[in-house]
Amino acid sequence: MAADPIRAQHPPPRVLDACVAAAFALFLGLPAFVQAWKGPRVEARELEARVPEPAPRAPRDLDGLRAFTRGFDAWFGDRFGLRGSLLRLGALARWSVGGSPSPLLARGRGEWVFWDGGGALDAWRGARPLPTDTVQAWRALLEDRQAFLAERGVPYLVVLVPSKPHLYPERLPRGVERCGQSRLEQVLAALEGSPVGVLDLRAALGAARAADEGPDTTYYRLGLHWTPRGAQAAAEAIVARLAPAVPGIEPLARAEFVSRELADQGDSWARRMGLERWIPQRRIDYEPEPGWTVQRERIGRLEETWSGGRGRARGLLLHDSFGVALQRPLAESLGELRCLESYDLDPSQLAGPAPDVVIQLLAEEALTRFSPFFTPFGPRPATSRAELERRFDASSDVLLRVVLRTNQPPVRPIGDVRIVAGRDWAGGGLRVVTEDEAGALLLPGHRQRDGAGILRLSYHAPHTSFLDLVSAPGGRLRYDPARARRVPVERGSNDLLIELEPELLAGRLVIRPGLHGRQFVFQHIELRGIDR
Amino acid sequence: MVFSAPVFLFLFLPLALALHAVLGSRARNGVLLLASLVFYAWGEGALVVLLLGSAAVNHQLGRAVGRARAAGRPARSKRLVAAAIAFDIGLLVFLKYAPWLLASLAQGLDALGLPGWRVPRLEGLRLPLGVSFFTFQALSYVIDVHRGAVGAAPGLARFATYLAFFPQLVAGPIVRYRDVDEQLARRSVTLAGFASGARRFVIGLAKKVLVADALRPLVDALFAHQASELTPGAAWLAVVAFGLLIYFDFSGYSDMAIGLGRMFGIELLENFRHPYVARSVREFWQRWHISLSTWFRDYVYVPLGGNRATARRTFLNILLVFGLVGLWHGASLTFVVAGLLHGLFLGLEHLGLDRRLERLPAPLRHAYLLAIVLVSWAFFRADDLSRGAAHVGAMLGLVQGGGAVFDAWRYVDGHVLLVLAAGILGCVPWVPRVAALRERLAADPRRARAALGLDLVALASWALLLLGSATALASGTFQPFVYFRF
Repeated sequence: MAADPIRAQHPPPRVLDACVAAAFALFLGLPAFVQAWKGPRVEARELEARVPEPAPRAPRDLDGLRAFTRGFDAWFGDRFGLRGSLLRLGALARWSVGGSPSPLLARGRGEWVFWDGGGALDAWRGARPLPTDTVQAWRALLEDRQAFLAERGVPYLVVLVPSKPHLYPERLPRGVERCGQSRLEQVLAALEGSPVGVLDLRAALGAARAADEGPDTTYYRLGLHWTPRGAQAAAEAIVARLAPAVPGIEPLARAEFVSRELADQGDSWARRMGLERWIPQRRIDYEPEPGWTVQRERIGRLEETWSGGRGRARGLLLHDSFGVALQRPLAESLGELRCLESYDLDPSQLAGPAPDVVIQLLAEEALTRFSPFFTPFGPRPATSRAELERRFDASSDVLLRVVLRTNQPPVRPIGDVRIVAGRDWAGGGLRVVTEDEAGALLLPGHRQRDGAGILRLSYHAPHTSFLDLVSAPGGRLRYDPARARRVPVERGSNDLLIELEPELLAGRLVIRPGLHGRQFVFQHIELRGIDR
Repeated sequence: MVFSAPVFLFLFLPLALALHAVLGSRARNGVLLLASLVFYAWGEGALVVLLLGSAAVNHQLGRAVGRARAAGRPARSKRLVAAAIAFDIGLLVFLKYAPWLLASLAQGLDALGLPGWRVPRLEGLRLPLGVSFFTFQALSYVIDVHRGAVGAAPGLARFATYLAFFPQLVAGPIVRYRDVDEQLARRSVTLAGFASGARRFVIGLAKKVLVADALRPLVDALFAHQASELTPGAAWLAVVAFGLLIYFDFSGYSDMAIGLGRMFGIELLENFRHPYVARSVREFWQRWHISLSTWFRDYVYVPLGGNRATARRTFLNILLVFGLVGLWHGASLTFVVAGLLHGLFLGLEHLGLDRRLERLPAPLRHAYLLAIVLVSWAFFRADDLSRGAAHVGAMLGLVQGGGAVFDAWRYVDGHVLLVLAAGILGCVPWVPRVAALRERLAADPRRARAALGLDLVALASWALLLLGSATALASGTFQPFVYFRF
């Protein structure tokens, strides 16, 4: 029998052994007890802003059994008792020893945090520049939109929002030093001489940053976005830029604004995790002394309309999360503002009374996470599922069938993508983990033919979002909205039938599965030619 | 299923322990076997049939060897052992190495302008988890029966319980049947044994989730870079962090296995004994993955002649054995090179280097060992040989391109520093020294209270590790939605 370095010839008192056994039993059994006592409490929505993993389906065969066990692991991992409390305790413990509460955040000096998902800090410091093709694609995409809107007499302004490191470099962690152009600077440089109207907010926000006083900062210390004062500075800069060209805009005087502290701590990782009592952040709001006149109406999950502002202009704002704080001050100056949380410009968005101006808010992080190659332009006519199935099944003209149960994956990754073939998913398949949103898969070359085709894609997605498809002549990505398709996907298994026009079949197909840091599983990829 | 997963800790393990405790001693092996099969099938699905098949074949071979020995037919016994080797090693080679070998063959043919595409690829072949462990265990059983070290297992159920025993099935230690045979036949679980097992399990869990898992993002980030992008400090940090990661991960699993074994009344042998305090490669392998090194010693090195051969032959045998040790870790030349590096220096020590080393001060000997180990880790972790070599070059400051440079501080914050410090401290055998101190105190009736005080401190520390591990394993399930910017 092996010697136990812990056990001894003079063992500890039996009562201590009993304490250990009891504590261990408690550790094993307490989560289940808490769950039974308090009922299942799933905090994934609050803590992680995501839908909890669903209950797995009962297995019908061996392949289904593996899917069941994996699904059960994920389902149980979201629901065991005390999970939320333990997550908070862990985040608090790491924070208290100078660590980061999340692998996506970098801990800076003076308890500041910075977004570091997908290597954002390395992108900012110039260590991971955008490839030239991508920079040129951004220019082409924005010029396309500018030209489209100019034909309709609508001015277009691209507003580039700098990420937090631009404004607070002294708060960055050690080891994050500039060694080249940030992606913002790359795109700005590429847009020099372009007809696209561009507003670089670094100057305006830098001036606001110079006026920081104590807790009243331009960007949130514990968050990633600008504060109300930062948004106000941005709105002023946008209005100042637009006012000469767009009649009816009413700039707001800074002097009429008063500040007040809000109980809500604003953009704060600690608040999101319910730790604001231990890691507080103050939020200073700004509003005009007579009050806001503009009113908000929420149309959909990603669409809002503001009206009743002081101005008489009508604007369309395409934005991301930075746009949320920007909407009200901007709408107050314009008078009416329609806000879509989207980077895309869909021509149908111009239906009805045309806007007097389209403002495209583009956060620097979008240049990291959003790929200009995969942007379709406008909706495509939809054919019914039944019709697509009928035509697919009727066709024997197989242009491509990708065998996925292999240790030698036939698809090539583009960008930061890891491919794990075969063994980790029920029924085989190709498991793909993307580290950034530009990550994509280049399919093998298909047999060329004239005419259209239908692509069948069986595919497991971790979130309800969309899948992008582009045609890449010679296997090289090129910005061409005519060769791009966007397909909505549901969380879980999808059996997609995608109709592809001849332009899309003229080159190799590239699939961008979606969000970064996520796992997708492709189980079937087959392309057939159809006669229209 | 992994030991640090919520479904294992809060569902599977309580159920298995409860059933094992409640049912009578006759049913305990059945509980263990059933639990082990469920454990394996949970992650590997139908491949559990492979495990059972291996158990059935090796059990039959063991019984046949036993009968041949009893009948005084050593030649037949040897042939049966050869059959066992062919089956077990053949299975391992087919499942683990064949795809790599065929791909390498195809590449080689392509390089020569020959039709490499004609080489068959083993599409859809899955590598069963733990196959390297249970094939070695099964083979050791048959050989031990042949050598008379243990009698053949009386029934397939008992042998299958040994082979599939879930605490050590997927990450070792490699258990010899002769070490657990009697325990499988007769065992009891005492309060002291259970508590000892619980202590050990939690220590192992803490090693894994508080140190190893905490270092993994740092290691992955550093090794993702090209070597030319790393400062020498970052390159050294990468191998040091990896050295800590692999030690705490592996030894943590072994601790959990030993702890779980004790909770079921089965004592498993130690697998790690603070290897990083070693002062020679020989000593390192007496402390690192002991079950693997002794397996290769007993079943490969000794049959090749061991230390009894000529110096040249012994040197070559050592190289061969350590090349195989490297290969055992994975189908890649990086593992082979890492193993050969150890084999080279172990061989040189055998040829006389150890006597020269003994004349050096202990810190220098320690530095010698750490240098070899850290360089070997650079190859072990690298994706391929060229990257491994480049990383070593970066460590020496010989490789730096003109592009972006990543400093060690880029990836180090307060928490990482704390984990690194705890990891380095954890490599030092201070626990046995404290335990020895406690023994001396406990042996003296006048100092019993001091011993009790140490016991209480140990209990509090253990409870803290338990709480910390619980928060860490919850963090392992944390998946913020990317747009959450979190």
